[in-house]
Amino acid sequence: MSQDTLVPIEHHGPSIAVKFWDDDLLFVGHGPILKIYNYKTSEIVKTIRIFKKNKIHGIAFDRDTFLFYGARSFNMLSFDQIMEQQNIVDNEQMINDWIITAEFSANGLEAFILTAHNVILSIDSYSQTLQWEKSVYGEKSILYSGSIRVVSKQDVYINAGTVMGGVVIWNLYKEEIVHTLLGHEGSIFNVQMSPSAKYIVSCSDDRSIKLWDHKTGDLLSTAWGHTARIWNLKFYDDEKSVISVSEDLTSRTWNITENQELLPYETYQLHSGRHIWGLDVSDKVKLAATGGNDGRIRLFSVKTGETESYRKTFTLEDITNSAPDYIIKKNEIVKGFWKLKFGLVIITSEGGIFIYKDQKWELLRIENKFNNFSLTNGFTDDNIIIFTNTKGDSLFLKFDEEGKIINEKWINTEVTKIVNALSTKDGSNFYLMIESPNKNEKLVVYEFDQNFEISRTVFLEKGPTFVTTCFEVNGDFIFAGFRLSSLGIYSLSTGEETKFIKKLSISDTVTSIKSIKSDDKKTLLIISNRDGYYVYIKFDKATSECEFIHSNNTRRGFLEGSYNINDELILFGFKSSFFYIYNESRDYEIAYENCGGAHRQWKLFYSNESYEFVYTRSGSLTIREIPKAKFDYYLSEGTHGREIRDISIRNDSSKIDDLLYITGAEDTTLKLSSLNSTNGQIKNHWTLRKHTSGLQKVKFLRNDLIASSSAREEFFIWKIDESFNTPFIIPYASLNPSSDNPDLRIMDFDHLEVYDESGKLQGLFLVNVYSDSSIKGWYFDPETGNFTQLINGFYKTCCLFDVKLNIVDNNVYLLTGATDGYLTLWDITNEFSLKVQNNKLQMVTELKSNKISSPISTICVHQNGIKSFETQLNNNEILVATGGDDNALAITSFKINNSGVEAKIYSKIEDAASSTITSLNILPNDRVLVASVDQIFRIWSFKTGELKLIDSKSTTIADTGSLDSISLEGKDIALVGGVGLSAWEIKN
Amino acid sequence: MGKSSKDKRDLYYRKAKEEGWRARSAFKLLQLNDQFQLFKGVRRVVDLCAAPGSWSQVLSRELFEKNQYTANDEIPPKIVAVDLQPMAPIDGVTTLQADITHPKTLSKILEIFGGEPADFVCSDGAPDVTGLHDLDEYIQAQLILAALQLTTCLLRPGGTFVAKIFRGRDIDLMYSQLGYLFEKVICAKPRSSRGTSLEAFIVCLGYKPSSHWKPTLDPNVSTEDFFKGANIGRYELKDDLTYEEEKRNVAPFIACGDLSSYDSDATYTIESNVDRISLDPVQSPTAPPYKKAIEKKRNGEIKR
Repeated sequence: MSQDTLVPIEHHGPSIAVKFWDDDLLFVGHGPILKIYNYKTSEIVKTIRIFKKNKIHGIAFDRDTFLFYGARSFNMLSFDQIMEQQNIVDNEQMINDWIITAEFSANGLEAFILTAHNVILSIDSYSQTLQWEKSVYGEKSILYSGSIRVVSKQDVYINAGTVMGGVVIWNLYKEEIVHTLLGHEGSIFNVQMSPSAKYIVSCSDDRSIKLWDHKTGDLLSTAWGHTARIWNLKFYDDEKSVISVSEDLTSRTWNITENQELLPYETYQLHSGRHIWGLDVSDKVKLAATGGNDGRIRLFSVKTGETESYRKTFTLEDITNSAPDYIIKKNEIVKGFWKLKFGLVIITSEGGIFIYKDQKWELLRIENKFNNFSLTNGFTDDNIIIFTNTKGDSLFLKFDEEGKIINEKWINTEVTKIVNALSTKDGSNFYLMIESPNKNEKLVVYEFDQNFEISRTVFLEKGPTFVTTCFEVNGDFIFAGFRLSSLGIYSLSTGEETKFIKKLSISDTVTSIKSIKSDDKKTLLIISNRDGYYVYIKFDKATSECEFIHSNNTRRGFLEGSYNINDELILFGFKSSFFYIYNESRDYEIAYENCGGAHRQWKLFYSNESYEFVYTRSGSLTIREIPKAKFDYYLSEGTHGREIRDISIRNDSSKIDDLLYITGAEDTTLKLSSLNSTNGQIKNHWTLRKHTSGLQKVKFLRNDLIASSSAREEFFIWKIDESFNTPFIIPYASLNPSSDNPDLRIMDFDHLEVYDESGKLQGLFLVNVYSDSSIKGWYFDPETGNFTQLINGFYKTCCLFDVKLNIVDNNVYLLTGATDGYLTLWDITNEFSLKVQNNKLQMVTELKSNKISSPISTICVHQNGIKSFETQLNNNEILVATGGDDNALAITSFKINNSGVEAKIYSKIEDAASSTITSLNILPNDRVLVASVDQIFRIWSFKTGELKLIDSKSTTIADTGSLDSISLEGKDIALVGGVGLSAWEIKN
Repeated sequence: MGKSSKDKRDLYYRKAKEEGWRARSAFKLLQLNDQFQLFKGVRRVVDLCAAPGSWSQVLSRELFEKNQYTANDEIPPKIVAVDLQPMAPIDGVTTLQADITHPKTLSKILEIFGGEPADFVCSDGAPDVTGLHDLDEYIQAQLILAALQLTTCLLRPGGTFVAKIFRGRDIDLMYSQLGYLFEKVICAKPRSSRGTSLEAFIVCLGYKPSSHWKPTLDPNVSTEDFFKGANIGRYELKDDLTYEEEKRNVAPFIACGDLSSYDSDATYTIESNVDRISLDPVQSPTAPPYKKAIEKKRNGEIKR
């Protein structure tokens, strides 16, 4: 066996252990690999493998000596060793049981290891040998969790969380039980003792957190909040607070009150997929770090009271107190506001205009024209605010940097009534749109400059659904969004409608339109709809054509608007009583505010990299500032956080450092990402949420087309657009399910290209196989997105797992693999309407649907399910590599000659893996890459007809379920997916 | 088993309800028996981690009804079902609500058997899955070892042990260790177990413990210590704590249940007239530990 054919490049997977060290370093275990981040600069200081196979579950340190542990392994290393030494894995040691946790003793001369059977082993820090074992007699039942609290040299407590619902606290040196804490239901998943040994906190399968008194063993408080299991707890803030992480993807902070009650404080939505495992908190820098199943490392500030310091709430009395003569009328409320550079300007329902500057309120004036009703618009960076009343009067005000009015102007619009006024800006032009509820009165758009000189007044025909909800101007175009999800495009110079699009989404209101990239020929628009849907449109200025190039559903309540910041899409809106700001491109929440819900006055302002959310609630005005985070929101990019079921890499060797690939996962989403094949770094572009069930397959059909399938009979074709920096992707076509309540899974699909008579590529022939054993084939027209059914067939009553199409000698063969372990071959040449010429499918004028008859050959290769297969053509022979649920790997040949088909198993290795083979890929030179659930990645050769193992390496990815590879100049690159993703180079 | 959810998709699930099995896993034991003739000549049986009891139901039907046990036979078959959870009674089955690691449980079983050893021990138990694959595998292995501890104190030489496994990264370690205690170790996958699940069953035939080893249950002895001296190739604690790769073996794999039996991965069309009728579960699911948390969420006490 030649060494190192399989060379790991990079690993992206769950992180269970995170630990702050020194002032600026964060130690992170990603599987068996340690990464040390400087979190202040987001740099990776060191990447090194700590264990051969096992994953790093925890990190303990004393000064500059570290103890890494995971499963039965540990590795004790100095900081210098970590930074300098090669082959650190050679120092790996092991014990005979699962390691629950470890800590150093008070003087650091020994380390204590707690095993899953509640035994403490002492390891000498210098010789790294076993010194002694201690346990409590009769308490060796299995543990799910535990921690060690070293209070002093003599006082060491073991906090053990059992499977059967109890927490056992014992004194190490006395080998005596201090307390058995009963009250939880289900297994104890974490237990911690506070640094001074005053409190104990624990959590269990019952999803509660319990606070106990260490001295008496009394239960002090039970707190609720997490909606799934809680995996980790830590005390911080001088024993006054507790932080938790959970399966529910949140981290929560909890305060211990003076009455020793544990109360919920903040909730942070941090990761994607499922589970947050790793948690550490630093009292010194007031930061918490979390590691998720998605492989992301998140950092956030846990300074108690910090959020409150960014939130200011004022009653109308607070605001008007600055003007002693101002009398608040009955029912007077804050009616509108706008943030300007120097501060906030507000107007009351009685026309009182106040400014808030340098933490002080000041009455500007009272405008009686704005009694009862006013609409507020503005331009933050230009210090301009506009108030409009129902009669058509608009007051334009411009301020200087100090908040003094330097220009003002009244404009009257001749309409019977005003219901709506909106503002926007294009370059140095400002626009105000005025709308009347009277259908016969046109929309009025004013164009004006800094000095309020009106350069144009345009009258627009209203859309049939009217009530304008947002608008944007770009060059000569006005884009207006309406209720009922429609979009009108008008010429600024003539006011004429150039385009009207109904039903951008199913229903609800268009909430924002923004032109984010523009030149003479085209503009890129991002449009959000209240129902959660958003779309990118490429608008051609010459033809007024609108091309939809990206769309997605946020599935996050009401979507109210968007920002494009550094080429990342930032969305905001409401979910139940919360307002959220979300980075959609990178899939994480930036901030949230419990404002009571959407039905109130509110506005979000963004400038100088910070947000300000202003809203009214029960008569009060709240300003919630969200400053730019001190450090990056996350340190590592990560993947789905659930099992990756399929991977497809685009075969485009021109971009080896920016390889586009797509993954489909158990979380029902697809992620479109890029891989740098040299260093293995990834960048996620989009998380697509169109599927509603776990993904089965995803594949590139062409450089710009992708197909994906899942349960509930979902089959989508996606189109990629790369005319901008970020690749966009849109659901382009879909197959209708065969019943109203679809319950079929589309297990696999394959395609062949279809050409016209002149040899030009026209469309695709696609074949799907289903969980009810049916086979269906279509002609797909990429121009129209239409499917025309060409074949339908049936195998037998078992689930089909795989399908491949091959053309041999101008005959078209369809090959299937099923749960019964059989490979089955159909000759469909004469059974479908496409022609075959020069071994290529050719389009015909009339397409018909045919039933395919019996297969021409079938052979039993595996005992049960064929989990994965690939074919290779050798003249008149189809070679099939198969991997089975029965651990076997086989090469089967279908030799096609005049007399018929000869099927034969060339080579079969019964125990090619010690568990299910889930995925395989044929590489050049008769080699096959194989991934299996035993977490060993193997490469075999079948050059001689016999399968021979070339190399095998353990992968760090659990539930290994998918793989894809690509041949680039001189090297092959593979991605292996499961719970995480690893990148490999395959040497020749 | 709940009332409706999976009725349509999973044929075994529906069939189990129709035939009165408490769980669809009954078919797994039936198919294992078809392959390995597990119940042939078997008189004393222990079903571990037995709740809700579908395997005990199979044992009861197979040993009493199918084998046509009559009052004339000198000794009737004896079936003991053990679980920490309470279990509804089953004809011909003695149920024990007890901890399988406790010596008292052992003596109770032996008492029921009149001091005679068991012919067959099975366990369909699975621990709660956390999502940390290595921890889940470890806990699963511990559960099998716990069942095996009791089994080694009960089983007659030549007897059979069957347990549920999940085929993960370290399953070959388990195969290797069991290989020291049994003539034959096979990994079997009944067709009623989904191909898309990692579940399988380890079938250990011909118990042959080392003659020098006397297994004794003691609550203060960990599983690790229990198997010391059994020479099953487990890593034993050394002073220098050196890393060592333990022996691993791949057990032969056998898919069982014949090809004409239903495929648990396939979607079947159920005749339209029975389509929409949801059958009541044979036994209601037990209350989970997080019941209170769910109630609080439902009442709006937990908001975000």
